[in-house]
Amino acid sequence: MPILDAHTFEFFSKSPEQTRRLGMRLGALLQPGDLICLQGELGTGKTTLVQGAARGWGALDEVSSPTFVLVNAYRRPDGAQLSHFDAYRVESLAEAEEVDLDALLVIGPLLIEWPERVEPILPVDRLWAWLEYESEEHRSMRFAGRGTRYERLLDALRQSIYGGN
Amino acid sequence: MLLAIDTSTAQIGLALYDGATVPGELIWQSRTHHTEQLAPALAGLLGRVGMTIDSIKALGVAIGPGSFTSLRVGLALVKGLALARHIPVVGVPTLDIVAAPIPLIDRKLAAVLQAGRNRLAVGWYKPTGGGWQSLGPATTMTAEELEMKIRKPVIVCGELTAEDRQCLARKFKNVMLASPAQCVRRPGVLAEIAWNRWQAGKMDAAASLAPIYLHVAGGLPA
Repeated sequence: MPILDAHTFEFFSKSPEQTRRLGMRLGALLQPGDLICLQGELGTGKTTLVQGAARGWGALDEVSSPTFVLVNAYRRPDGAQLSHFDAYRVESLAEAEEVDLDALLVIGPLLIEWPERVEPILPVDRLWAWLEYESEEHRSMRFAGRGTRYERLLDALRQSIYGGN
Repeated sequence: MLLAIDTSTAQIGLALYDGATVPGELIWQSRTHHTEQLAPALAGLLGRVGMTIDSIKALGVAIGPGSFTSLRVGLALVKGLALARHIPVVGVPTLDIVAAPIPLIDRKLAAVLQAGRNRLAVGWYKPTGGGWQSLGPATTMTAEELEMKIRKPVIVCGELTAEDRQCLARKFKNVMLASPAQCVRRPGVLAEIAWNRWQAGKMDAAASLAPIYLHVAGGLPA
């Protein structure tokens, strides 16, 4: 486990299944207001990670890539909502603003694919993940947290994956 | 009877106004349930005062600044009513509603509302014979940034958190903070402003009435 600094860590996934399990561990830790940004090219595992996160968080609904709607919402039996925003088709920051990410963050956690397209309108505090294609099945994932909440979240995720301190 | 609706922020307000009295007024805080709550609350208010929607002959609506989702909910209901029932609409800038009930004194006034991410939307007003007059569109800033701007005696009123109040109170010599009760944005006040504009024949076109959104990033490229 290469630790780059206290607020960053790297994970190497050997399969979509492992990516999904990582997502489940992340999802189990999410709280309302948490912003998770997933940056990576097509096929690097963003949607797989979201699928795992929604499952780990407790969503009842199946996750699909929100290619035709900008935001998918997943519900939990207790009425909570996890939002999944795909910024790929957003044509301008003004259009992205109209999605009202702040309102989504009030009601639950928010995961964003292609976050780099809307970065200027995102809250400064967030967890940012870079997903990269290494080989057919292998992906590297680097996570960085900014702000107290995300440093804690990253610690908790690291513990959940590797155990111990 | 005029119906006023304000969904600019987490606070939702409804009021009925007939030019002489306010038969019903309702204010509550709703973090995210504007859509589910607004229409039933309107039906409840009308029922409680023994009216139906047929009593409503004009509409007043707060047009922002405010948050995207909440503003849209109120405007959608108002536009729907206006177009379906062929009744006139008056759109009122939200901070005008905040400023209007504050007693006029000879200093500037900053009317504020919560703009999210710990920022305030701030609109400046000056006292005139006709009441508080807006000095321009609202801008967003933190309470600290507002405090830094204040160099002469001013009144600050509107949605202020305990932290905002504490921050602004550091300028105690120059800042007169309206009390929490005075800071409530009352839909009855919105109704009165809208009523007066309606009586003066200054209505807005329902179809083209657009909300004033608060932008999170300054100077967005289109």
